[in-house]
Amino acid sequence: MKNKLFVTAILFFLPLGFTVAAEVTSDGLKQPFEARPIYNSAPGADEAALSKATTAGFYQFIAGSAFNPRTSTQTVSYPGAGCTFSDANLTTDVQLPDGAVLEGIRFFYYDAGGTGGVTIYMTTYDGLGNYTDIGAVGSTLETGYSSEYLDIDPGHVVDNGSNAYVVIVNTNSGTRFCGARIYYVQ
Amino acid sequence: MNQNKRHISPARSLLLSAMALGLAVGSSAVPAAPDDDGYQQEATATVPQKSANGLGFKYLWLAGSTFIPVSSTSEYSYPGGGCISKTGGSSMLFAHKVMLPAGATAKYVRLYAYDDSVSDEVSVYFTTYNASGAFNELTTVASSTTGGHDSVLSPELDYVVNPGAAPINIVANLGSQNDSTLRFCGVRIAYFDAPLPNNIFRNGFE
Repeated sequence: MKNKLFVTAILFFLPLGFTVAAEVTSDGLKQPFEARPIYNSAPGADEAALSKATTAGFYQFIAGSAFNPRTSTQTVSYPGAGCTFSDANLTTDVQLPDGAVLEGIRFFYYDAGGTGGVTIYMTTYDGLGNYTDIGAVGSTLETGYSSEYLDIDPGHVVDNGSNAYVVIVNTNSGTRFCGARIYYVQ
Repeated sequence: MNQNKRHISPARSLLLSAMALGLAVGSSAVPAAPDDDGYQQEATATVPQKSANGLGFKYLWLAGSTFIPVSSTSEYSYPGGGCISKTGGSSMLFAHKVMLPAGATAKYVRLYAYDDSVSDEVSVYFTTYNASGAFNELTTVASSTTGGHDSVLSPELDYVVNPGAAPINIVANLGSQNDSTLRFCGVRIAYFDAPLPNNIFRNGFE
């Protein structure tokens, strides 16, 4: 009887043990469910409401960890969950359909206070040393995981024959950049 | 009298004749050399750079600053304008994946570089891999010393993209010049979309 009770107790607690144990994944040690980020979106209208066009909208979502450093001297760290931090600018290319209208970017970040935040730029290059910042904005929230929307107004018509498109991000100490969601219409 | 018939005045007739003559002269102009400029190709009679579906070029443009070193032994900096420069290290190769639609035909690679180096140059390679140790450099183009920013076009390609068969990279070799007199600023790949499927008469007219 005592043995039966013991086995039952083990069978009961075993699954509970598995749910809290850290799991090795491609993302490093997987955090318990409670620790996963819950984003607080910045107040204001979302990109769908901001859209000036009447046609359907599309997203291209790029994780922060997919951004690359622009120099070999900067430090890049990976705090997990697709987020990244660097002491200098990170960048990635953006490929959108020709003729699409780029309306804005929602950027996702972590900032729990301290000095400085996360700044994001949507930039084009002409290959001949010139650049244009189509839009740029700094984060304003310090509530942990958050997201804010960079409205590009008027919308920018994508011309892949004339420009290279990139997103650039700058993180300050204590912050993390977790991704950029580009919103465009066709 | 037919009121629907449009009346053409002598002056308007003369203008239309002049326009027709001008168009004829324009179309018989010396054709430009083949290149990746879709608009130029539209007017080139002898080099019809149009895809099977009748459309012109599409472009995939990758800024130099979005390329990543193939080795952690690379040392490089960002001199601005979307360009990168090598500053040291033993590896001189930088790469970027090329994601083109299945069935698209890659035609040209245009290299953008700043070359004020008398001893070295930037070279880029359109490369496919078999993921089993072999690779194929389908075209290459190098910068020339111009003392500033310039672009150079590769020889023509005719590579039909098959994502199931081979991954594609653009590989940039920044040589041994370790300062910003040599900068890699990106590549623009000109390609044709895949031909449209012929679904309309697939089953005949019955």
